[in-house]
Amino acid sequence: MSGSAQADAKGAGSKEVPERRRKGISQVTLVYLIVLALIPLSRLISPAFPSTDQVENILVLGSFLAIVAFGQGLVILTGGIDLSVAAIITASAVFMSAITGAMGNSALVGVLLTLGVGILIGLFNGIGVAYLKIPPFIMTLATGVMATSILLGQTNGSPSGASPPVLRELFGTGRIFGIPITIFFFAALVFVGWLIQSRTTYGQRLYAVGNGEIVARISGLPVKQLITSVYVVSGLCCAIAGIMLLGFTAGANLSIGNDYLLPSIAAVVVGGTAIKGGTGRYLGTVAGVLLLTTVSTDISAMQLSEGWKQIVYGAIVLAALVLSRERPEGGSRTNIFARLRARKREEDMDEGHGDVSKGAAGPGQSAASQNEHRRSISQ
Amino acid sequence: MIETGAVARKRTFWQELRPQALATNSVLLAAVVFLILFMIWTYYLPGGLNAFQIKDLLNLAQALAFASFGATLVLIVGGFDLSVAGLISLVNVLVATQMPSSAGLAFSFAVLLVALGLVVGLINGCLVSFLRLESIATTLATFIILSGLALVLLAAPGGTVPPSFYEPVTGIIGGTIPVALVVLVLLVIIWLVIKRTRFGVNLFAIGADEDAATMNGVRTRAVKVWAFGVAGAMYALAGLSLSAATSTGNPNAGTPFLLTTFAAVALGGTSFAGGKGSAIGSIIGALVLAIIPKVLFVLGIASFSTGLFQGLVMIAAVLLGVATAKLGRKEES
Repeated sequence: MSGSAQADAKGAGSKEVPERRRKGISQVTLVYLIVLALIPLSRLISPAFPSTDQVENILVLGSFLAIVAFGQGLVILTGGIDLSVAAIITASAVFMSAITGAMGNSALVGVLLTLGVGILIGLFNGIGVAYLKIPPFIMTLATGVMATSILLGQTNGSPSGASPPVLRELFGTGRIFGIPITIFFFAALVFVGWLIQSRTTYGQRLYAVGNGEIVARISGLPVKQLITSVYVVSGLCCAIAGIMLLGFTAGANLSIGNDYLLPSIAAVVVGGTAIKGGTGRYLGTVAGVLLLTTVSTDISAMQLSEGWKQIVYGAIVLAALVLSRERPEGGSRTNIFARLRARKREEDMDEGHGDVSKGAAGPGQSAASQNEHRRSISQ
Repeated sequence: MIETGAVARKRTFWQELRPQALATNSVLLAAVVFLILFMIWTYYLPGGLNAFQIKDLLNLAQALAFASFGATLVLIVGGFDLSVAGLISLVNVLVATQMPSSAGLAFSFAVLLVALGLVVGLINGCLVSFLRLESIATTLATFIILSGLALVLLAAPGGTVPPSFYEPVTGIIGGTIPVALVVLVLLVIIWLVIKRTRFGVNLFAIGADEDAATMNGVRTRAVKVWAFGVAGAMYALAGLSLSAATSTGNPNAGTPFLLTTFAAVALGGTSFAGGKGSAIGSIIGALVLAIIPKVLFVLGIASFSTGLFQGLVMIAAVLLGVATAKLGRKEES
């Protein structure tokens, strides 16, 4: 009951957010240092490296991943995961090229409608996770498969859309002061992303949700709306990435988004965000993006196959997990099993006496919540 | 419900089939769903049902049954295992490129691959339980690495599976009993045995409350490592059955299993929060997912919408699981 709620509140609150964030900084700094060291070391791989072309390439290719990883990072911050990003990117690119090409709409209308599609798919994810209580991993996986299936049906397997000239100019060939326009987008994105995640009330509320939904709810935060919103933002980010990629590659195909699902999660994890939520910063994610993209350009320069890139990505993620684990994390209570149990406990509470924030102790207390009560006392 | 506690569990078979009872028994519910789909399929099937069509269905379901059996073990201890897709791809590619063609060597190679699956699973388990890493993130990393290895070994779909391996595995014994049926029955028996062993009981104990299990003397870490290990062996078996059924190699062969494995498990009523589940349910779930494309086909619905239906079935199954758990708890209280 209320005793159990307090115990949970204490359990979730004891993660000590400021301390964790300080630790995050050191991991982020480490990743930035590795990136800075890797670029000159690229010389070992190809005599053409390091060069301004290489740095330019990393920033341009990284910008697509950075925007997807921003949405993914917010989702992971709340303790979820978005496995539908690849499908949304592909759907957006194909939709955009279809609506501006065959249907003859202007690029601006196309962009607005495509962003709408991304938002709708994200909303579908968000409602499933926040209101229907479907595990994020399952919900977004199902959404991704369904979106891909619809896309295959609509395009008969081979979309034949070109990119509108404006997009081609913006994200493909265009340069200002000799610097690709995409890089300016990247800079703006890093600033806006940092601003939203670290300097707005919205961002702070997401940390609160990620650190413990019950506490957040008792504090009066609209937890369900917040959780829904991160999936919407993720859908929107993927739509933007889809539009940018369409301009960059000058044509849509059904595998345009495939290279972004695992790297988006990897970038977030490498950047010091715990997959269980509640910690991490966008600047860390950007460091992860730069690291993965640098490694990726090196591997391409070595003429190694796509498979090797994946193996290295996986190894980097594992290394990041092990490294971030070695810093004391508040004992064994922070593993996924504890989190899943906390979630289960929360469900029991939902059922036992309705809305916790009202503190109403319902008379029909179930045996399950009594057990929970006893367990929380014994801890 | 008026029945309480232990009494509620001692219902007869026919009582189990009443609507209220059915809603709380997901295994039986999945079986009923399968039977309905099976009847629709056989009704519309041109030329009627024969042993070969059943064999075909079961061969498709067999790989998924193995995969979801493994995933069930990990879910019961409260973990998530995404490495299923990577391991299936890797085993499929290894079979298509490296398997010797003589029968004896082919099956020794298959045993070797199951051992490989066991080792990969044990590594997953050690990372999760000894280093205390998040199971989703860890197995995501191993999934990326395993599919990378598959891509390195075979860059594009191709390769062939020796007939000496796939013919006996996908055949029909004496013209009536498909080998896959025997395998599925064996799987059910293995589950019934595991459930009654100390290992099986410990799985549920850890999933329900890890701290309580530790305090009661369960060697929590070891049990978790072995849950991942056995699951890895099951994924390798899934990769072997898939290779036998498709008789070719594809470095992305395992990717669809990421959705279908967990969909089958959800259909079978295994909880994603740990502590509750049944591999029999998962096997029936695998049968349901295998028959969906066939039902869509005989009804004349285009094949690309298979993914759409599988996604919907998955969401429906999880929603049903949530509702079932609530009903079940109400019944007990």
